[in-house]
Amino acid sequence: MLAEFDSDYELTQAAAQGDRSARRLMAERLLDRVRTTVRYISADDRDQDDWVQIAMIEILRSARTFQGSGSLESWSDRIAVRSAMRHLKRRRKKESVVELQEDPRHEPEVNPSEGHTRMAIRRQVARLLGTISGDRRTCVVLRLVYGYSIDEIAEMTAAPRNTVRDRLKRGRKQLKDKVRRDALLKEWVNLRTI
Amino acid sequence: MSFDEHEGKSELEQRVMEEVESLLAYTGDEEHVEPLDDLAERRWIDTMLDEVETAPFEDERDAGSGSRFRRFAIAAGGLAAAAAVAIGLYFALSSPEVAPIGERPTDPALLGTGTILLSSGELTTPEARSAVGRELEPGSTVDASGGRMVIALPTGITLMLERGGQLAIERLDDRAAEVRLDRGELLASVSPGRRGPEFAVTTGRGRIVVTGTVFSVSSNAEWVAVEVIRGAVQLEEARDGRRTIEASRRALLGEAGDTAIDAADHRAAKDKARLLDMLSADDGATIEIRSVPSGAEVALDGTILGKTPLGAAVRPGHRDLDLALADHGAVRERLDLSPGAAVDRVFEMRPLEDLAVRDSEPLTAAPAKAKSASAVPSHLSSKELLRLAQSLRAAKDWRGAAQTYQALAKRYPGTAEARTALVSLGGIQLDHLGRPARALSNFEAYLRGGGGALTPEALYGKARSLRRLGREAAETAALRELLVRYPGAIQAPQARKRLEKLSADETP
Repeated sequence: MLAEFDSDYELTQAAAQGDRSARRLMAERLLDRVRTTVRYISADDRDQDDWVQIAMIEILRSARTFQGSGSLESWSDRIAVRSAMRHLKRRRKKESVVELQEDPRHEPEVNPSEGHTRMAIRRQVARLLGTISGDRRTCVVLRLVYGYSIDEIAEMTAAPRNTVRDRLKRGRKQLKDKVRRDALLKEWVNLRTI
Repeated sequence: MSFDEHEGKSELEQRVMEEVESLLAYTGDEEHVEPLDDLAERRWIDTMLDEVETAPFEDERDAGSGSRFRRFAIAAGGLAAAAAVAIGLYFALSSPEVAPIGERPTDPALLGTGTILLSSGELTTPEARSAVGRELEPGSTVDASGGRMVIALPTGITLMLERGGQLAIERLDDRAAEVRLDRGELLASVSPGRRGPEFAVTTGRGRIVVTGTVFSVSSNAEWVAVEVIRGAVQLEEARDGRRTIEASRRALLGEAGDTAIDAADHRAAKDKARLLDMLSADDGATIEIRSVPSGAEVALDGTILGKTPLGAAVRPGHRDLDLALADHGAVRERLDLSPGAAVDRVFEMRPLEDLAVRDSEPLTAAPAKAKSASAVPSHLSSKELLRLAQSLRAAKDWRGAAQTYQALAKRYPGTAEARTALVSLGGIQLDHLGRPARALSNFEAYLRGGGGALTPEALYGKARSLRRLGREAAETAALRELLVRYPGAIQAPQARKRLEKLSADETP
């Protein structure tokens, strides 16, 4: 939180009243987190910048609804996730697929000279995540990236607890299978332990 | 949290999964997405804030067709001779609104004039060099036979006409903003918070209607193609009425159906759209860049603007100017551009002799305080320089790392460290600094030195550089060489996949 405001609540209320500097502070603070959420949930969709922009605008316009009882980040996560899930549904209708396979349009961009940097490895993991179906992927992202509980994920995704539990179990198994077979990830871990 | 089933798996596989868990956890300390530069972040946030202030919330619930802040990219082509057909089509499809009984129709009010923001390449007329800032009224024709041109129109529309293209500004009033593409390729950007009349591009085979965002048009003797990078566009065709083309799809005007866009084309269009963000008609500084010989690729902060001679109105700030020309040493200068400033530079491009890391100097004006290899501490050994470069790279200081690798290659030519530096430098230039021509030179310099353990990386880097430069025949040759010499290399699967794609594209 920045010095001009004593609390996140004050920040969001100022933003809700049209204070541009407060809105800017909110945007600067949350942009990286929203980009991360969208990147993993969208599976590197080509329109992910648009998804981010839409989610950020929804967050800024919803500033009045922040009660100050939890963290600003958790509150914004809920909005970003709902926004991203709407895009997923729309894309699913358009593509008429239930289970995403490795998308041939997205060539893995292995960059030899970049070596095994953590960013490069994250890109690889994001690609593997992208092969899991959208609902499962959303649950896995909320669990592994942000550490949300099953109850919290159920509330964020508007799904029953048992459904979330099942999506998590199957999604993690799918990810595990992909990770186990991935040569780049193996090489990375091997080099780190030499 | 941990993965719960490790039984029967190798120790390595178990460690991999644990590492993946740790890597995915968001702590706020590490980037999970590619960092934005300050300019891009500021502009993006400004766009969002403008949108929040100017439109009702309900309008933005859905990103479906018609959303104002989507960006579009369209490519279209048609006969220059069919321009008359386009005009006829325009009048047929956009009949004027009928005024209510008792109200007298009023004449449309002019919105303003267009302004040239960038001109580049070989010039057709003596005055073309000073074309930046020239105003264009409705009825004006823009001819880019010399090289790329960028034009700003009122209400937040920016057009990039590629070399060989020609367009005419048809209307700029409160009822319609229209341009007619006679030939060539056009990329256009409509700012997200745009308020103004419908914007359309007419071609010989139909009309493309944009309700907000970015698009491009090109001209071919046989077809008109539309490629949508983001969002969607409406196509108006003579027989079929309107249809919508969604993001990542390509359609031919006058023909049913659409197909997916190639990923490389998609990235190229996005790169071009980024260039438009660097230009400004209002508070920009004017730069005029020439080189001897001409035809050098000009990049500002890693974004390629065009080829020399080049003039542009760019946003103020501290900018890194780079010039690259095949078989010549690269040039860099730091420009400090204040609003309204005019900068004129002529550079001598020196032929490349031993390494591809030589700097040139401007013929006019003293070089600014450029970041250069000379800024790297001079007392360090080759091994120390390599370690310094690697640590800068790990910290994602791409420019710092590149300068250090350059210093290493220049100060200790022929050493193993210097040869390693060439490949690493090429990778950074290609993937982080947007300089494929310079990257290519460095990969080739490594390969000319007889190769070594990094030969597969250098070959693959060479192929990727050639791809970015659009040199598909040379790219194919480099990929084949990689696969013949190193069929088991880690890059081989990607190389095979790319070769298959290139072969498929060649098949009629």
